[in-house]
Amino acid sequence: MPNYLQPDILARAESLGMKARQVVEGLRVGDHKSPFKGFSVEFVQHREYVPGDDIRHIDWKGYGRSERYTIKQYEQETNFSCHILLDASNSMRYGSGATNKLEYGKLLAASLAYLVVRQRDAVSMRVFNTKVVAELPLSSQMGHINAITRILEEMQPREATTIGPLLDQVADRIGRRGIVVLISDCLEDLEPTLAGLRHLRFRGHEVILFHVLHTDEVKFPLDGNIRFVGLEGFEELMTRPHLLRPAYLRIVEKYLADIRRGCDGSGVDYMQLLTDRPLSNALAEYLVRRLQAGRR
Amino acid sequence: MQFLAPMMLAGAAAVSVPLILHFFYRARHTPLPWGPMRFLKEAIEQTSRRLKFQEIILLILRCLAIILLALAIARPGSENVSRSSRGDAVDAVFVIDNSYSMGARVGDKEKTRLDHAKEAAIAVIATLPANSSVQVFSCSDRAKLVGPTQKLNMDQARSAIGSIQITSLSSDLLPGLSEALAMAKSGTASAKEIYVFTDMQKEAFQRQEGAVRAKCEEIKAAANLVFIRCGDVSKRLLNVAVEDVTWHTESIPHTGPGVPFVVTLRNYGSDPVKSVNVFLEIDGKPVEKEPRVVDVVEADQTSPVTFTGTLEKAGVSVISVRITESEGLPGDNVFYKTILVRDKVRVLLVNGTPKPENPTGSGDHFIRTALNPAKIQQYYIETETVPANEAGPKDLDGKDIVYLLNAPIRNREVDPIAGMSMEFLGELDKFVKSGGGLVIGCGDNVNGELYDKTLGSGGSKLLPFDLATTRSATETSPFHPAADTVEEASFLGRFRLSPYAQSLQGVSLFRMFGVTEAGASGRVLVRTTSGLPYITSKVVGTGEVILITGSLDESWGNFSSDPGSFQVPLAIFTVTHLTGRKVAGGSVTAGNPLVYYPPPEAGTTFELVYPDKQLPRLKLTAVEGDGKRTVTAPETELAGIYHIVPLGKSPDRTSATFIVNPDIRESKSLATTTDDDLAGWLGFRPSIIQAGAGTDSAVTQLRTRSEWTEYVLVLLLVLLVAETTWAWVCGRSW
Repeated sequence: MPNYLQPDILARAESLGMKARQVVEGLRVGDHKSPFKGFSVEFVQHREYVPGDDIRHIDWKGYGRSERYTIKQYEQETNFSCHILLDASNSMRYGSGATNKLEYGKLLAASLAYLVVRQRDAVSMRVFNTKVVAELPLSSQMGHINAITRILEEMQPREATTIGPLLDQVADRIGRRGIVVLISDCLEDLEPTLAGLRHLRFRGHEVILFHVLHTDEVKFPLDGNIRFVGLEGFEELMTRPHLLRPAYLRIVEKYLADIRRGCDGSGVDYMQLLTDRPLSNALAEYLVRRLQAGRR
Repeated sequence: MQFLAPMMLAGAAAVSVPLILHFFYRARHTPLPWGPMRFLKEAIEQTSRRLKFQEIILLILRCLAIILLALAIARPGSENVSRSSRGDAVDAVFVIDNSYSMGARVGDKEKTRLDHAKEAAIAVIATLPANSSVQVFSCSDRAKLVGPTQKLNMDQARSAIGSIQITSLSSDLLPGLSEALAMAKSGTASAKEIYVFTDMQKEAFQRQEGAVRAKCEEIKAAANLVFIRCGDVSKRLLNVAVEDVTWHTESIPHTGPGVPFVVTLRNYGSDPVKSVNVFLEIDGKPVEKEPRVVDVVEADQTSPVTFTGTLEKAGVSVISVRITESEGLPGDNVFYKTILVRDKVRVLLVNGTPKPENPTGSGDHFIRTALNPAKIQQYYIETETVPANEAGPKDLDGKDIVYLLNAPIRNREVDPIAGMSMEFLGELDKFVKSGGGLVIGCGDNVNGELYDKTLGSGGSKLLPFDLATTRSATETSPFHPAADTVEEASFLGRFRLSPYAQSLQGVSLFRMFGVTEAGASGRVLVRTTSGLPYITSKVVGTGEVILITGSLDESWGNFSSDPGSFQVPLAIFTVTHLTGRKVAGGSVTAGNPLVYYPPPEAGTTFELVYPDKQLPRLKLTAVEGDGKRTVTAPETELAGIYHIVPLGKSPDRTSATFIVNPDIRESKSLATTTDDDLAGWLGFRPSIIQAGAGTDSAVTQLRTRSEWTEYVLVLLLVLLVAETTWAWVCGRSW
């Protein structure tokens, strides 16, 4: 099994993933019509109708025969495609070991891909910085996971990020509506990023933003004399960070509030992930949150 | 402000450390790759002005802290700060005024000012930190180290203080301050304190005001100067002093008839003094059994008191005056004078122009008349006249004074029998050098060249000046002696005053010898109005020669309408003076040395006998110099009668007797200075403590109060707290 497919994460997410699938179904039911109706539908079994089931799925012929309401179940109830976009710019380099943002993002991407494929949905993978540097097309084959993890393993962070134009580009290229998952630290200018997200939403995609940040970047617990070297092209700054902490925290707080507000306003599902938090917990929390949101 | 450890101020240079750190030092910064640089930059932009302000405040606080620390280590204080305030050992020097004003008992009948000074000094010793040293000087117009021999021995110091006695000297603090400073500087302790125990008499500061001020400034820079005021400055001192005692001075004191003595009392205070008892003694015997009582002596006035005493014995008599008053200074209540009492004064007149057939025309007529104007038989002045050519060595036997009256010197080439013989002149030389008096009057018989060769610089050197050529004047414009040229300090000084001055200026001189003044050792006592020397003198050995460049008769001039008005006083003054020279001893003011020229037969070792044998005898040795032997006794701090006697001998009427009187300058200025006056004179305010019960605590307070280190440290603490608080508020640390 590839490194990015860790059993403890997958074990926990897999059980939630099933529920997630139902959630996805639940979300889709009555939400909009599938453009691929009847395609690749394979009958599996009947089951008794329960209130709440769509009456369109009632087997009326069977009712004629037995005067019982039964529902026809098919092998693939849903048919969604998931597009994972992973930011591999230099800013994702920050952090060491498990708290490295890119590594955290890779682990998240692999886990999500596995989860989607495991549900027999299709997943595509795009790794980008200023442009898309690696891309795998949609596939629901389990073997696709291997390709994804291989790309992730080989991927090294480079250059700066330009998320906004890239999202525009992705929105134009993805024909079918689906779920677009963006994994990034979003440290570039916020407005282009939000514009890109809005573009995706406009195209009818469900957009999830996993905002991966290191604790240092959010809580700024640094001390001493530090020469900050910009990872994405800023000059060096020498300062004593503890003197700046209040101002820095104010700015970051405003930034996070802005991005959250922007996502909420655009219908983007926003999830902040701090890399010091175990991914299994964070992912489980997100999936549960989706589940609960689906029930409502 | 001054600093006890000024070198420590150099520590303030450490203020450069935070400045260097602030402006030049680049701390090592740990590199950190960072993503959200945008946020960081924005945070810096938002906070930079505030941070710079905080940094400047912090820098100022830290610089101030370092400066205050250096200041505290340097131990700042007022100008009176003592280095001993932290318990350091002290080199203390005590200067205790023992001038006779310290004998006053103003406001305290039991104790004198000196007693208060001693108590205060002992109290100050008790306050000195451990391992301190003490040196004690007594000081009047001179300073004297009285102990202790071991500086650290406080018992010895107390004993030395106790031994100080009041002198008859006046006040002058300069010597004491100078000695004290030198002594303090020689000490090894870092803390030096000079205590001056004095009644703060103005005279003590003002006699050498400039030098005292400079010395105090010098002391202030090196030590802590503290004045201990002894006596109550608020109370005025009542004081009467004996200023003088005189007697009828126009005659030579001699045995026999009663002599009127006039005692002059003077009130130097500012209030009248009542009921002053006056005693007069001659050779220790009271003239009158009961004292004369002067009812009142008004302020700043003199009061004469007349006694009549009898001089019973020939020789040196001591006249002692003593007064008693209810308060005031005991030191100036005595006065002494010596008087040489003669039974006979024998004068030899060597006459150069004898005229047996016409005695009034003889050259000795005027002198004989002047010396015995009343022509009294068996008069105490006996004159013997001898013609010049008959004068021989034996004529000098028993004589006190010799007059050469127009007497020629024998010139064998011209006349082998005329004039004074060389034998006589040779003996005359010895006569003068052994204390005899010689008076030379000129005239036509005097050959200036021969005189110079025999008695002048070419011979026995008796002449005050060599004779030059004669000067002549007309009868209408003669030479006149000028009263204002009379040397005031000489025995002829009274010729400056009326009526003697008029008599002197009435003399007309038609002819007189000029003298060669250049290079001569004589002195001119009287000159003419044209500046020619008229009466000159020269001390030769223990005798003296008086040279009159005119004649002592009327051959070269006249003595006005009343010849006696000039001749008689001149003769009496001259004889009195010359016979007085034969008195062994003299009269000096306390503090001056006693100088005695012993006769050749007296040996070389002598002893000084102190008044009333108060002190053990002081051994003195005669010193050869300047052609004569001299014995000098420097120790005359106490008024009284001193004797210089050959080793082991007892004083008697023939021994050298000196009387020493109090230095009356002390009585003339009894005012004491106030603290403000003193500060004004000195240019700074010294520490002044009143001697009394609280002296020790006042000294201790002075030591601690004048140092500001504690205040600076408290300030430093406050500053550090402020710095820490500010740094905490700003999120900073060192």
